[in-house]
Amino acid sequence: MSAPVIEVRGLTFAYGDGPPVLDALDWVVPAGARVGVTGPNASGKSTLLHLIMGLRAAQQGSIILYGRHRVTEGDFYEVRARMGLLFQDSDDQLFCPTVLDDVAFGPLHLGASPDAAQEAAREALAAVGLAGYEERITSRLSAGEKKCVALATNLAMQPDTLLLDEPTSYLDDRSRDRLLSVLKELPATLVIVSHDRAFLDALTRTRYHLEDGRLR
Amino acid sequence: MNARGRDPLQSMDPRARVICAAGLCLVAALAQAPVSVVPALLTPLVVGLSARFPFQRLLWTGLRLNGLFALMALSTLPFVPGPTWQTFGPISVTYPGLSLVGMMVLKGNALVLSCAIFLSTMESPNLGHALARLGVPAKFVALMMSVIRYIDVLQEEHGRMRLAMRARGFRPRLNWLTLQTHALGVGALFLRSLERAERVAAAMKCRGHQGLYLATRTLHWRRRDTAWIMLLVAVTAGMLWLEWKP
Ligand SMILES: Nc1ncnc2c1ncn2[C@@H]1O[C@H](COP(=O)(O)OP(=O)(O)OP(=O)(O)O)[C@@H](O)[C@H]1O
Ligand SMILES: [Mg+2]
Repeated sequence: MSAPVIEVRGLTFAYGDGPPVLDALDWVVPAGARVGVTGPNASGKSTLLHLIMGLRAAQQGSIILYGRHRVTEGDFYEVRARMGLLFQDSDDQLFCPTVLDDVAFGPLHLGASPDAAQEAAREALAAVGLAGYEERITSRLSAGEKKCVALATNLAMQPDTLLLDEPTSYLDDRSRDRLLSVLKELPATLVIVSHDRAFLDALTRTRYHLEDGRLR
Repeated sequence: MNARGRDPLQSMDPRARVICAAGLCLVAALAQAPVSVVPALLTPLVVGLSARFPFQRLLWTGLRLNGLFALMALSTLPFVPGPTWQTFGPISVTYPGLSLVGMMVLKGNALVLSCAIFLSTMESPNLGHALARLGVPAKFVALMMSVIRYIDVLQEEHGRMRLAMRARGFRPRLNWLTLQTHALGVGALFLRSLERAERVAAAMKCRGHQGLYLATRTLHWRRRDTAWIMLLVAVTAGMLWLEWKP
């Protein structure tokens, strides 16, 4: 049996001197699982995902990913090559002038040649239904289009684990259905944070609820 | 855009553009005689015209630049010694003074034109690629690209804030409230941009970024690009000849 993808023990986190957002939180996500996370606004769902990706440091507790304790930036660099995060706000996720540059950025930095990275980017864009968007200016896309490009930036890196923070926000019915089928086909461990019950029902069997700093 | 059509500028390899701009700036800066600056002024002008470069975009920059030169000319002209050309009251303008000011104007405009035509028409990532491929140290390129990126962030954030303010009834007027709002706005702008830059850095980390800049696009050097460099060499040679001819 392989180690759980995510194992979190006694995770405690607060922003600055603020109240704790996460309070001695324990969580295990086995490899290959598809889990949903719900919880009221400001309960710390996004914060939890950022901690798992190593984008912020917890005050207490341990984060064990793929069976190893992750502490340093180097530890997390290794993780980010296999684990993707779809940010809640796509404007935070996209940072290159053109769509193609943005989607190719990940594969390129994982060591692909420029040509291979572009190929991966084109494939990922086609998968989310944005073939032909390669030369568009990222910052001028609509909110829904940005969400799809942001998903493509993740798919292009072929993650074996994907953390999705509100993946369905801004999506119309067609894009939402496409997202659903892309995620159904994806051979990856999925963690989906969403307020969209129907979407969670269609994709996940296990459900967690984050409230008062704990997962239930 | 990246389509390399028939437009001579767009079809030029970014590296060739950087070389042309750098070369023209260098020769313009080093030239000793006015006549040898002229080719450095004419080359970008001709290239710009044939590429239908929107020169009106340069108008404002050009005006300010030459306004600055005019100021400098007024403040230096009376103090350059030498044979007199004309006297205006107590002030006498000398021949060496004239040629000094002339050179300043010619060189300054040549520098600005070369950079505007060859570099400003290129998207910033391409400039980064070109510099990286030309052997500029990766750390320096990364730094430069971050600066360019941050200017973008500031601009985007500024645009968003202005929209949000206007949506809540803000109209700039000549009064204390407007001034206060602007002051608040500038502070908020920098704070927000800083926070956004942090989030962008997080997003870059998530995609395997470790601080160095990698070129997304493969560059293709074509025979045409070599031709451009030859043209540049010819221009330089011409200038040298003008400079040294007996
Ligand atoms: N950068 C920050 N600095 C300080 N406090 C923050 C920051 N980001 C979030 N918080 C606070 O942390 C708490 C948790 O925020 P978080 O974004 O994780 O909530 P969430 O569960 O994702 O909410 P939502 O459902 O609205 O997306 C909130 O009280 C929020 O105000
Ligand atoms: Mg959130």
